[in-house]
Parts: sequence; structure tokens; C-alpha cells
Amino acid sequence: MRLIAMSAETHEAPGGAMEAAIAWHVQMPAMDAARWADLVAWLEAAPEHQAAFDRVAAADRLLAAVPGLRQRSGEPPSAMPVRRRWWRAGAGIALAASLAGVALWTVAPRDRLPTTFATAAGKIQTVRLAEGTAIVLNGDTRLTRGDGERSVRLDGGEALFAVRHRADAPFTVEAGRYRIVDVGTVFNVRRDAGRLMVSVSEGSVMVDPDSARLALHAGEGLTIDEASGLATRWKAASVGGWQAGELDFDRATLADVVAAFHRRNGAEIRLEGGLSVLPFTGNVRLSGETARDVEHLARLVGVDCRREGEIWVLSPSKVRS
Amino acid sequence: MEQRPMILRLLSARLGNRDEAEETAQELWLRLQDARPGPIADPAAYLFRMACNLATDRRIAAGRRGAREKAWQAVQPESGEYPDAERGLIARGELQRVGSLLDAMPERMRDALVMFRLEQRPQKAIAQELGMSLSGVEKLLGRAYRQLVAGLADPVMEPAAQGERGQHEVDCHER
Repeated sequence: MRLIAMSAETHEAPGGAMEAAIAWHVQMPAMDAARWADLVAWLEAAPEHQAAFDRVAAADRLLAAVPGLRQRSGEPPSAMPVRRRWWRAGAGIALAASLAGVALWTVAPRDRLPTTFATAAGKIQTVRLAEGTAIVLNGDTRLTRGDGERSVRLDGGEALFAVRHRADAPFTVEAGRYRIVDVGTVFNVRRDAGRLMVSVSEGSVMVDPDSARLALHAGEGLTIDEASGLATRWKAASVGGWQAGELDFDRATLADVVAAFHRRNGAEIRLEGGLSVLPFTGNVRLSGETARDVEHLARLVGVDCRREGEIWVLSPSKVRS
Repeated sequence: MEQRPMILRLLSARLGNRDEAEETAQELWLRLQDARPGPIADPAAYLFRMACNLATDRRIAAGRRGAREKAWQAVQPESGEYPDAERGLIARGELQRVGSLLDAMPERMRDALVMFRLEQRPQKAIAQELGMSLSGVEKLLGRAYRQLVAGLADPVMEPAAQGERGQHEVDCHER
């Protein structure tokens, strides 16, 4: 591929500039700084390059905004019953409904938009509500939209919320018997194994506004044991890092780590010989290759790792005592 | 920021105006200060990407001000990439156009585009999922963009009257 046009005199067919602009967009996510410098040189080389790039960039931007595009076709129906129904109505209708935007949402929100979003383990989905609120669902997560656009229920799993705050209509997340009300913007909620964990990246939230009224600010986290109601505060070093495959654990157990793996990359891992209660503090960065990540984890905690069909088994090391 | 001169060049090339480039660079630094982005694999690449997105927003906003038929608005924030949630809604007509262009795409092409653009998955992963070669994915994405750009440039656009070989039927048949 032509990377750098050498001078401004370079005259290409308009189609050539367009092809190159498209190629730049296709490779953009993988570009390093040197490649970006090549792109800059290409843009500077000719006004047609700039014009072509501009058109592709505008199309690309619109693309990212189409709500229906998030519903991918061809997912196994059992894993994605909700999405499926969404597509089955016919892409045209579903898209038209979502494209009509806020107006339609307020007129007949429940008929045309899915109210429940579910992800399979290892899959991430972004849900956008009106008014610039975005929710990123981690894998193995189920979320139900409430009436209007200002409340959701996290049935299970984990989600990162970027909420546009409105004082007159605070955004509410219901999780089990607790409610979380935003007083600000970006926060993460996880609900699994009888625990509710909330951490805040920007702004602040109020957990259980009706009774305990626990305020959490940026950089703070809170874990509530749902059975006992016992709440523990902690320092949230990274919030929603799972999106980028960065998993952070503070005084957790290996069982927590394995659950986080499963959610994020779909890996089925069984722990043997009492490993589930092994304490774990630190970060794990997922590479995207499950085999590599599981083996890395095993080495990190010094346990043996083997594979039984689709399942990874971690067991206490036989070499060391 | 060692990348500052190159970022300025990128912005100048995108915006065609040095002053606006400076202003946009300023906006970029401000955003970096309030956005507390999560872990980033390649900070320099992230900066370039953000700068490029900001420039695109400005170009779109300028186009909207200038010509009424190009009245597309800035859109919702894409996770991390567009940290500003204070954006308006998108012009409905433009979105509808993109929607019908997507409807007209073969399923694999649309799936590749979703994985690439929205799920932001590496092309290697897309190739695996679709059972294609890496260069096949690259070509498929290239074709998808070509269709989009061409479709958006097309002045007449009647989504219902497109008559693309039974594309809607394919979707309706799924169960």
C-alpha cells in the first residue's frame, strides 16, 4: 500500500485517494505512533487526500452512532435470546425504530426496543440510552431497562455506567435489594456470588439511598455482602479496567479471579484442592488469548494447569510442597 | 507531551487551519486531564486517535453549520474514545441512511463491521470468528466502507425503494 505520497504534486485519481483513506481507517486501531506520523505525511501531501479522509471519517463517525448496528446477526439463539428477537423483527423495522431516537422511545419505548440485554461469557456489549448515557456490559451479564431511560436493573454480572447526570431525574441502578443513585458520572457495578460491588471513576454515587445512604466518590469502592448487609469500603485503583482486559484484585480470592476471567474471556476454569480460597491481590492483564492467559495466571500463583476438553483445571502444584 | 508537534500537524491537516488546530489540541489536553482513562496499551496511539476524533467532530460540526444538507450532528460518546457525554443527538436522516446502507450489506460484511467498529476487536479476532484470512477481513472492511461512503454521497436515498435482493427476507427468516 502507498503510505506516503512524496509531494503535493502527486496527482492520483480521486478513487485512489478514497481507497487510501479507507485503508487508513481500516488499519487505524492497530496503528502505532510511527504509523500515525505516516498518516499525517499522507494527509499533508495533497488536498484530495484530506478531502477523501474527511468523507471516510464522517461516515465512520456516523457508523459508530447507529444503535441497531450493535445487534449482530448470527448469534446462537440460546445465548442471545433477546438480541435475537430484536433482529427477527427484521433489521429494517428494528433499525427504523431505534433510529427514530428519543421521540419513539418516549412514545412507545417498550414495544420496539429491547428491555433486557444479556451477554454471553466473553462478550461485551454497549447499550446506549437517550441523553448520552452509555452502559458497557461485561460478559455473562444481564441488565433490564426500567421505564423511561433513567433506571435499569442489574440482574447479575457487571456493567460500567457512564451517566449523564440530571438533578431532576437521577439515574438509578437496582441490584438485588439495593439501589444505587448517581450523583455524577462514571461508575462500575458488579453483582455475583451474593456480593454487590460498586466503584466510582468520576463523580459520585449514593448506595442504598433509602436507608444506609453510603456516598461513594471517585476512586472509592464498596462491597456489600447481600446476605449479611455488611459493607466494606476499599480504594478503587482502576474502575472498569475490564473493558481493556485489565483486571484488578484487592484482597480477593482465586475464585474471584476465575469468575472475572470467565466473564471477560469466557474461559471455563475449575479450581481443585482448595485453591478457590487462595488469597489474591494484584492485576492481571488479559492478552485476548485464553490459553496464554490461563497459563499465565497459573504461573503467577504457582499452581499446575491442565486442560480437560473445554475446561481448564488449576490444581495445587505437585512439584513444590 | 513529546507527540505534541505531530498531533498539531495531524490536526492542521484535518482542519486546514492552524488556529483551530491549536484550539483543538488545547481541548485534547483538557480532556486528558479530566478523563481518567483506564489502562491504555499505547498512550501515543490513543492520543492520535483522540485528536483525530476531535478533528472529525469539528469537521462535522462545521459542515452542519455550513450546509444544511450536511446537517449531521456530533454523536454519542464511544466508550473511552469520545469521553465527552455532553453531545447532542444525531441527525435522524443521516442515521437512517447509514441504517439502510447497513441493511443492504451482506450479513458477513455487517458482522465484520460491527466487530471492527463497535466491539473494537482486533482484525485477527474477526478473521478467526468469521473463518477468513486476515487479508480477507481487511478487504471485506474496505468494501464495507466503500459502500458506506458511496451511499452517503448518493443524493437520492429512499431506503424502502432500494430493492436489494431479498436482504430483509434473510433477516426475517432467522429464528
